[in-house]
Amino acid sequence: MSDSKQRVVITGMGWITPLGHDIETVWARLIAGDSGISHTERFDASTYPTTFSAEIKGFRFEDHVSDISRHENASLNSQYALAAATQAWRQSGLDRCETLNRQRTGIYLGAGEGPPDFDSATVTNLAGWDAGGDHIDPRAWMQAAGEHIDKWKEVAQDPNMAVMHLATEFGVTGPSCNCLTACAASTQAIGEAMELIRRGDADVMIAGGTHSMIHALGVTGFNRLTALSTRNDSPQTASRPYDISRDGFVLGEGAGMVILETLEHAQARGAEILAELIGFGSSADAFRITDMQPEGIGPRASMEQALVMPGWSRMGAGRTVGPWCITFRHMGPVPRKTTRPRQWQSRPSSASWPPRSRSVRSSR
Amino acid sequence: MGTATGLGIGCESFWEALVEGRSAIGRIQAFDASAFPVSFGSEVASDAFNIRQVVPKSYRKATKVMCRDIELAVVAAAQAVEDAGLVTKGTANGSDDTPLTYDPARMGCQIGAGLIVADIDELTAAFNIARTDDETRAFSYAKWGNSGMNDLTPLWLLKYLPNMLACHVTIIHDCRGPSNTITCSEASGALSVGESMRVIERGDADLCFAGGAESKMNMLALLRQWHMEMLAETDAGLTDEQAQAVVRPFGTDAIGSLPGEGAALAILEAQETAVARGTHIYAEILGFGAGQSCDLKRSGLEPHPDGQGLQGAIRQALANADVTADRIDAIVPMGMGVAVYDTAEAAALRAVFGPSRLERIPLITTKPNVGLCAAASSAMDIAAAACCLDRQMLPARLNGSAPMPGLEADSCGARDAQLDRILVCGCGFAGQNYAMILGRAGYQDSGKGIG
Repeated sequence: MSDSKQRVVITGMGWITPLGHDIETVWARLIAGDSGISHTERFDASTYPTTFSAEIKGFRFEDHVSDISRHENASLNSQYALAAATQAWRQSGLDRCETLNRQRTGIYLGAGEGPPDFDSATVTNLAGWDAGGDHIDPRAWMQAAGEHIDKWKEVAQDPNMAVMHLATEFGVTGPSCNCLTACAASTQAIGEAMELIRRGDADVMIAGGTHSMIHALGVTGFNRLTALSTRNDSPQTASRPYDISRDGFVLGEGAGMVILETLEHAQARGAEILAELIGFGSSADAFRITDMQPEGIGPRASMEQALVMPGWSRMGAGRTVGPWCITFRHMGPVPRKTTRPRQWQSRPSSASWPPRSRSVRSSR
Repeated sequence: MGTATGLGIGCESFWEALVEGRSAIGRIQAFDASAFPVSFGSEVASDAFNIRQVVPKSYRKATKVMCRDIELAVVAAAQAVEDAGLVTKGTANGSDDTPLTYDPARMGCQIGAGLIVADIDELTAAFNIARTDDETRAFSYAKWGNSGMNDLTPLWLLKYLPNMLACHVTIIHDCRGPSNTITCSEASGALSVGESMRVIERGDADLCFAGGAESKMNMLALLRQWHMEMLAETDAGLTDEQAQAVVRPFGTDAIGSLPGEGAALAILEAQETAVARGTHIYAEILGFGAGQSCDLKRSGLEPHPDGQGLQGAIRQALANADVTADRIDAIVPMGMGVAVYDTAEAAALRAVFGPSRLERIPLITTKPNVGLCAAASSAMDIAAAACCLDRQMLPARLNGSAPMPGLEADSCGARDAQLDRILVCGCGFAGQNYAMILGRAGYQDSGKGIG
């Protein structure tokens, strides 16, 4: 059964990141070892424990999307998603593909919620605050909400709005979905999009993620968790993955999108194949809400799933990427200052390798 | 299956109320909603459960960081585990002697969730500290960074992330398999059940917790649902009985829905392992489909009037189940009672089933009973369909006295019925559509199900 499943390839990519607003620029700057991290300008973070972040600067929505009037109320999230997806769509050549079956083209994003309307929230909540009773007076709050809360800014925060904007932009009506699993979301979205294609539910999927939490409440939340680096005097050296001197992560923002399609579909229309997806896994730590299981059982389980995925045997065929593995952590990483660095322990142990496969479904 | 709705805790209370035609809609108790455009809804009673008693003793401390949405999911998961007769880490209560029903690595969890609103009193008390000292008493970012934010508990953010529903459920029951949190408004629950089905089907898990949970019973969530143009304006002077007549799915007189809260989680198992352990099977998932529709021309919030994305989803589900439309015995549509959504759903159903067939297929609607529970809504509809197949019975259809043409079937009380396959389908806010076909347990194996 598994062997009859479709092979899935990447034919387009798009990036909106703090390093640049297209694949070529971002890639060149990554190779050059540039950093997109600097002092936060989006809001006044000068008194926050962390005063820096990786912001997207100089982004102009109208430079990326041909008719922005169709996306009048798009949040920053949705704008990043539209810009990145448009790049991917064009690179894949789907904008010039007259035979594309739009009912067989879907979307799976790992998009976060849109930034909250923080200024309206402070004004409204404070107007509704009953200082004597130390609580909100709902009648006063509702009256203030009527004056200050903007309908569209509230509606635009729903995490599935980016999917709707993409569907409108590209006119696609196939299977669509959005997941929100913190840092794992967009990789899970791409993995599940691949599974949808393999199952035969779609020929083409737009997949990826978009999010910005560089706003007054987002940074508050991560600062309260002591999850962010506080090296305010040296923002560009603050993010130190796997380094024993690390003191937390640096909050960034942006969108990354890929076009996935069956190998057959890509070949039939002569599309350039950038990579093939050959494995995907997902798991939960089921450990604690604040930190990861110290032996890395979660990441290990998802890597094992990705490695044994049917298609593994095709490693020799063309260019490949993988394994795609997901560590499902349920939240942003919280490498607190008090946490001792641990040795990476995710290598499969011989006792469980190879993992047992499902008798009725396995291709081997 | 496990549910927590305004009708009670546990699937039995939900089903009994559907059969008796009871509605949980009443005056909102969570806060004084009298100045809001909507002041009625379906709430889970404040004394319906005590979250500290629901979780294992060793996990009681964690209930402090559970918002309402998380609590509802945790309660429904406990109900579902009990109903399925599972032994998990959470039910074994620290005892190592009881063998677990499933290997934790083979248990997955997909729970649909919404955008969760932070507790307004906690947040505003912190805002209040960040006011300037001058006469404007306005909010100051400088003071917020210096002192105001420190008034929030350190784990504040973790109370409100949508994926914390699945996080707590997976920790309590030690589910280490594939896990996801789908955030597609009303479609979330059904899309999560669909994803769980695919996870089991492709062999990545033997069991999944699948469904959704959400509460709209706080000021900002209620206002957002109102701004999404989902809700009917209600006069604060209505009686509960009058409010219970407001939600009229597919009514020519539909004026909008009413807010709700709740959770519905199903335990999905691979048929072979469920049969092997000899558990009661409510229903089998025969097919699933999804699609997208939206019509930006009409304010950007509404589905396409032709129900295009939903048509595709239903056709995909039928093809996946390898059945034709004439083999569907009943339909559970989203049926919000919001005219533009009902119109789109009706158009899709007419296109797939044909007008003459559609007017004879019983429709099952749950929104008049439990309100519009956002991410939990479509999972509740799946629970209702599974109960119908299990009991071979159709529940009462409330507020169906003036249905749109072609959608008038079974506007009456509960009755026994021969039900082999039920379609659950609908479209939610922002255009994600789902369609799932459930079959009577064992029907596919009896030979009658072929074709």
